Amino acid sequence: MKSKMVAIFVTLMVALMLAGFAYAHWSETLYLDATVNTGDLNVKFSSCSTNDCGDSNDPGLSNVVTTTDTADGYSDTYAASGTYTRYGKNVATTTCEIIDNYNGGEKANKLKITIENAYPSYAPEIIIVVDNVGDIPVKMTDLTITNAECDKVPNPQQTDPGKKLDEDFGMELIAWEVTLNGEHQYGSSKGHYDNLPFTVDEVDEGMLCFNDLVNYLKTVQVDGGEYLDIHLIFHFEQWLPEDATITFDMTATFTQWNLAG
Amino acid sequence: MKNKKLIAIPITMVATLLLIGFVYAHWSETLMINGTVNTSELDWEFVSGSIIHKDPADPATNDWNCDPGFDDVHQIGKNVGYTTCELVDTDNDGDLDTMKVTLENVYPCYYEHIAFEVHNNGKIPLKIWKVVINGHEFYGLPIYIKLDLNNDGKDDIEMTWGDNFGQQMEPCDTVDISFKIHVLQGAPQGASLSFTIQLIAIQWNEYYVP
Repeated sequence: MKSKMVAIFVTLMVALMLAGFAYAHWSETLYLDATVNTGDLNVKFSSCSTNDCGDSNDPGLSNVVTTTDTADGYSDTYAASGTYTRYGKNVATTTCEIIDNYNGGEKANKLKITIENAYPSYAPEIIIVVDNVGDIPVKMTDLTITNAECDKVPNPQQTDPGKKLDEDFGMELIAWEVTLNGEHQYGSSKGHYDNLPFTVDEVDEGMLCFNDLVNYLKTVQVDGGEYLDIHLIFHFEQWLPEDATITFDMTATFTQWNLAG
Repeated sequence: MKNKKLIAIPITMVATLLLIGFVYAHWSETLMINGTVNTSELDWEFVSGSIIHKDPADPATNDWNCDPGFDDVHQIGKNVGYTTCELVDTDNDGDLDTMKVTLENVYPCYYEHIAFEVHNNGKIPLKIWKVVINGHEFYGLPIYIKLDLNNDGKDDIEMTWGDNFGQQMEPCDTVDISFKIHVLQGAPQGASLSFTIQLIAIQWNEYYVP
């Protein structure tokens, strides 16, 4: 009798399974649809201007007194003092142009600066504006000079591109200023110059002037929608080769602020 | 046992990520600046065919004489000495950079006045800065010098220079310059004496007089 009962139950279960019967408890599912919209790290050159784009008298240094600093086996002769002035002539020009999609990159990712008919003591100011058009804050993590070449100096003494520009080709950065959203942040100059077109906080920085700029830029956080102005004054030295073409590249790397080291 | 399992899980995950080429990176973007500097050129030259002087060899011309100090300049009735002037491109750059002046068969009292033109064939304004006569530098007028060319203690010639110091020359400008030579009593006979004159220009914005 007991075996009959077992057989009935087993038969019933097999029948139910064959009929597709589902034995289940009550249940209910809640769904959570997740969407992650990532930020966009995007910086671009928004403008570039110079104080000698062609229709004005040339800017330059007058009353220059030079000096020489030596460190780590490198000697740098530079304008220790002078007056930033306008000469009475329009001989040289400095222009710049923003180029899109360089090397397959974003829009406005390259700047082309062209200085024509430069001569010793000429000292144009170049103003570069970088916009953070992305959604997350950025910091500049690197600024390097590469590919410094001069057709009239085939065998430069220096190997470092920055030093090559300075000591072999006669082109030096003598002053800089960084502003954020139009507000002065910091600036320094290589020597002591009167009448500079912007404020500098440190003078007589000597051969550390370019490093000062790089180190300071690494500290500046540019939030989304903010813009950074970088003012640079280059000075051409007495040993600038005549009738020459000098080329160089500068690469600025911007990184998300929280991983910028 | 449980702890070992917990450690094993992340190690396995990292190893897996490495195996499938996963790269952990921050976001960054690069901006490029390309700079080109075309430098200028300061260049000037003697103008071909511009030399004018009083006593050339061709056409044959009677000599000119004067007294010391360039007094009483006058032409005499004889053609004894003569002067040749030649412009030379010494470095083969296409510019006439040297004037070779030769006074032949000259004698005390012989006088010559040489005028010429210089041309700014560079791309930058220049100023006529200085004249160096046998190592003596002059930055302005008056220029008057006596030279003992054979070092015998006696002056052999006297010279005076023209004008145009500090004259600004724009690219393509041409200006006239002149100088005078007078052979003095101390000049040796039968000798060949030489001297050099350097005429130096400087870019206009660096002009100064020491």
